[in-house]
Amino acid sequence: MSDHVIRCIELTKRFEDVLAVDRVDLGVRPGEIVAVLGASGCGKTTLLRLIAGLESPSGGEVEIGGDVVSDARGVRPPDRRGIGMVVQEYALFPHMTVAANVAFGLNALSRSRRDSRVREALSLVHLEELASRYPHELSGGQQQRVALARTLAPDPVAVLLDEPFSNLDATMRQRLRVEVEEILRARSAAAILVTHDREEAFAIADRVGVMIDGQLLHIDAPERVYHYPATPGVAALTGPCDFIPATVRQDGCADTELGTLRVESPAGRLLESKPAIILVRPDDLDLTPDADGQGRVAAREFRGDHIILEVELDSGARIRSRTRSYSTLPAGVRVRVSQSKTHPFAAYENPKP
Amino acid sequence: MQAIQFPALFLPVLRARVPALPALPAILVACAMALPLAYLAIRGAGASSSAWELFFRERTAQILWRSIQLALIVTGGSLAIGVPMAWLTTRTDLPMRRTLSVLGALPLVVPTYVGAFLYIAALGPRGMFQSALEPLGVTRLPEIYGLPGASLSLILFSYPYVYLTVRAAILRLDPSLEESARMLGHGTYSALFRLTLPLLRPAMLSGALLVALYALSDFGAASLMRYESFTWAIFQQYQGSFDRSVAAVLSLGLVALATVVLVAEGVVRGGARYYRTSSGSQREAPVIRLNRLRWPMAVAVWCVVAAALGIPSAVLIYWLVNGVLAGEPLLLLWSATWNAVSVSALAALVSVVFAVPVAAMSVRHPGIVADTVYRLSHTGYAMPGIVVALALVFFSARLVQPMYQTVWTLVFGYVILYMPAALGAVQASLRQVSPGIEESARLLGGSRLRVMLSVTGPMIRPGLQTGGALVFLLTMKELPTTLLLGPLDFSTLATAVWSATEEAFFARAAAPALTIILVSSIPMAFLVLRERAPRQ
Repeated sequence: MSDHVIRCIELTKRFEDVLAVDRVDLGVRPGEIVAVLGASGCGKTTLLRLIAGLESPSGGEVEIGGDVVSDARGVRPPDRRGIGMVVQEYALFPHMTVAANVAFGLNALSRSRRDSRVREALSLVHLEELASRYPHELSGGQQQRVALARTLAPDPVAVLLDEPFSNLDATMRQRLRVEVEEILRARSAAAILVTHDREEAFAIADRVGVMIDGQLLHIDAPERVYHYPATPGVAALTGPCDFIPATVRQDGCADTELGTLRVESPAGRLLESKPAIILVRPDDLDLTPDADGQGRVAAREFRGDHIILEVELDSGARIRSRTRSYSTLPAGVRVRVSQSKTHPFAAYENPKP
Repeated sequence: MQAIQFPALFLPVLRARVPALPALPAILVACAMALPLAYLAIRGAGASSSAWELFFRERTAQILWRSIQLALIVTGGSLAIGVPMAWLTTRTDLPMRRTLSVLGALPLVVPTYVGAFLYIAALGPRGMFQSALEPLGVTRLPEIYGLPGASLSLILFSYPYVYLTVRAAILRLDPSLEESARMLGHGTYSALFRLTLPLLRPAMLSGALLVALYALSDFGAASLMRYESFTWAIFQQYQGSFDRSVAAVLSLGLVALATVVLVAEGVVRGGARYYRTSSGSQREAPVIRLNRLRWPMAVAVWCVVAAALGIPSAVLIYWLVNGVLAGEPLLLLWSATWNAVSVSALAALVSVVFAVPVAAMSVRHPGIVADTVYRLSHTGYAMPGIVVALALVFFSARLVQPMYQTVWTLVFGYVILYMPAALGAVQASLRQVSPGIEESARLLGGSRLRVMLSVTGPMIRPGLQTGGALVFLLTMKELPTTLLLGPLDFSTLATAVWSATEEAFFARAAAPALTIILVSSIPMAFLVLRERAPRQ
């Protein structure tokens, strides 16, 4: 039990008539980075604020280092939890220099210890030379680094990151993501990162949790979440997806319009002889021109480094396939759709047979 | 060749390429606003040497020092009351927080001269308090006249300037800053003193500036409390001496003092430009539990409310009842009320109309022209009412005789004094209208004027209303300008109170004083309630 730095048990938060966080169970082990992925308004920020002690739960509890710090009876204040948080707008103190911002959490230390810790934290984010600047004199990426240095300076047992890269442009976002991951790994700091960007979540995290309408529907290794999402909703949040109807057989295969495919049920349910659907990601399938194929290319979208071809199957179902950027397959041509991936497809109960 | 020289002077203006529509009216307004100061300077420069000699006497230095003392004490006291009250009523679980947040602002509607006379009636020699203690053998109370009384009545009725500005700043603070401080290991009070209060410094400073300027310019309270301040000296000179240029010279001294305050504020504020407050949709900041301090704090706040509202109302009602029982006629009140309300409404309307082009210039076409116009429009901000009044008396009596002692000159005086207040509100609301909206309207074929009237106008209406309400409120209780500029037989509520109190007819002063308070409470309530309404 106590091998978790942070642990949420049945954590629930209700705002008037909205369940923002709905019975969430989540454990973060030392040095582990967990990403929580969700659309805006799904409750992921509220989850972080509950862990931080900025909100009090309506039910369930939060443990930090094995101690219960929040439950329905009471909440240990945020300043006595020993965890740090970086918020979306960074919340740097506008009237203080970078150094003063970083020193703000080092109140208990002597002046000389504090100064050396500030230098250390700033060198970690490569900003030593900006110590005497004010936040408004920094670029977005620099502000982000200061926020991180400020959070890490007091040596928190865990760091919470709330959409930390969303205010940056695409290139900067990618660079900082790598940098932040390195810094967190180097300190083997446990972290929970909340984001709506699936690429970010997959790239940085040891485990990815997917949150929809306040519920943490699936938490697992990134590959597992991508290939075997717990529900069709989780599949939609984690990447482009199409579903085709299928009939599951006893032997773990399913009959579909595309032929017989090996399947697995992420929910672990028995799907035999029930109407089912199969998750198809664009990179699961290959297309070859074939007059006797199962469908025809209905649309072609050039994306630069790849092309998305939309295929209309004879049943009317549509699937997307990703091909190389130099593919010459034109719209209108009939194609044969074949399986390119080697492991089983994810199958679900058909919600509307 | 000669022709080039003259336009060369205006080259920066021409180069600025400002469209004539906001520019021309804005420049006209700015010139009008700067008129009294310019005229005063001319009068001062042309004053006889004896007037200047009078100015440089030792006595002037004494009066100057008295005014500075008063301003310092009043500013300090207002900060000491206004800042904690603003924090307690916005962020804590103080009992009856919402009621108290309105009551905290209300003392602003009590004119200081009314407050002063009420405190004299209550605490002065042979006042109500002493009479009540008489049977106990108390024949003397501590002296209320002089500095203690003047500062008390100014603090109690002008601290809302600090309270309101700091309150607004607290409500605009980004809650995530304080949360970050908490996450960095600071407790509630550590975060308050190390983070929140320093963040509020600019707001405290602008509130303090308003109070300091007000304390320097106040005429009624200081005179009633027999505190010989600068304004009092100017009034004495104006009434008692033949050489009115002495008053003009003294006025210039007071303007200089106010300017020093303004400059000092600018210096202290310094690099505070970067203070950022987040906008847009955001969480409400969490309520801070006062725990053991909850009830002591409540008692302290109620004490302020009792001193600034309770005691004055009780005394007023006591005298009103006494007056009516003694057969004091209330008839006079109708015309005084009508006069006060109509000139105040007129001043509010003109101020808002004047403020629009100036605000449009400074928000939409910033540059040297806008900057100059903006600064000139603030002349009245640094000029005490009595000085503006005097300047207009001189000006109208000398140069535009038909305007001398007419309602129009009076309204003009009010506008000079209070237009800056309206300007702030109009400017703030104009900033929230994206230029893209105006540009779209123009691209759809609307003329500049039509866009202003049918697109921008409706969008900035809240700002116009706030500005108008503010000017109305301030004009209702204005005294020195009304005394000096009003037509001969023109009586407003303020002058009615003044003439009654000057002769210590407290019973006669009670009814008009109460009317001022009640009438001004309407725009005041409007302002406070609007502040609490969700921002868009």
